[in-house]
Amino acid sequence: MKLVVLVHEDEETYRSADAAGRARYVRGHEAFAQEAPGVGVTILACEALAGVTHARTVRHVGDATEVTDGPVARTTEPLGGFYLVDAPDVATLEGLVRLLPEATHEIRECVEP
Amino acid sequence: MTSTPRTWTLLLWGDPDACLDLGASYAAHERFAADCAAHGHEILGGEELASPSAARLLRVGADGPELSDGPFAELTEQLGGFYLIRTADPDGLLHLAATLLENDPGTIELRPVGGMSAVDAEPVASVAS
Repeated sequence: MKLVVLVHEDEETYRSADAAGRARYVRGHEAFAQEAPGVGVTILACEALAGVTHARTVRHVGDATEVTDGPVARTTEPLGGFYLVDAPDVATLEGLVRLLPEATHEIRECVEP
Repeated sequence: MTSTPRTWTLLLWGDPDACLDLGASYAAHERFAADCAAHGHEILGGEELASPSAARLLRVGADGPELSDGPFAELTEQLGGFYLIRTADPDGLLHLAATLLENDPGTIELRPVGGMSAVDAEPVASVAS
């Protein structure tokens, strides 16, 4: 089944991390990628997003369209990136996500056409 | 404003139960795809996400992972889907994407990929034009 892992993380955690902290962060993602094939999970796509200061947003206000700088959600843990995977089931992916670095990881199913 | 082509994520946020007309919404996405092709925005991929009510959350913290049912409550609008698009004209892309909101109220966010390290060296783009 096709699933996404939405990585909600505090950008400041990485920005303020020392070399060892950044290495631990990278190791978490590497472990996720390395262990995936062994449990039948295929990573179809993954992207790290640029920080929220690089976001621009469009919304409808009444009949007009308004474009602004900044992300949609002002939260301490904005979306920082995602994995799109094919996994045998949600539980298997949950086990694998435990390897990822500190963050709130949201697992969602994709709508198959 | 156009610049060097790069890959952007178009994030579609909203209330998962607010879509007024699913058929019209899918038709709008088909039109959007055709408009992107006509304007040189290359759609690399995209997914529609299932309802966040079935989401699973895994908070990985210093004390180890903690599993719970979703959705991610910190957000007022939930991610409903996304596109990955390569373009040199992000402003043009964003204005095309605004048409997707006509049948499916919500908010659309455009952000480059590449992580924090890849863009820290570049100036922050502005849409105040």
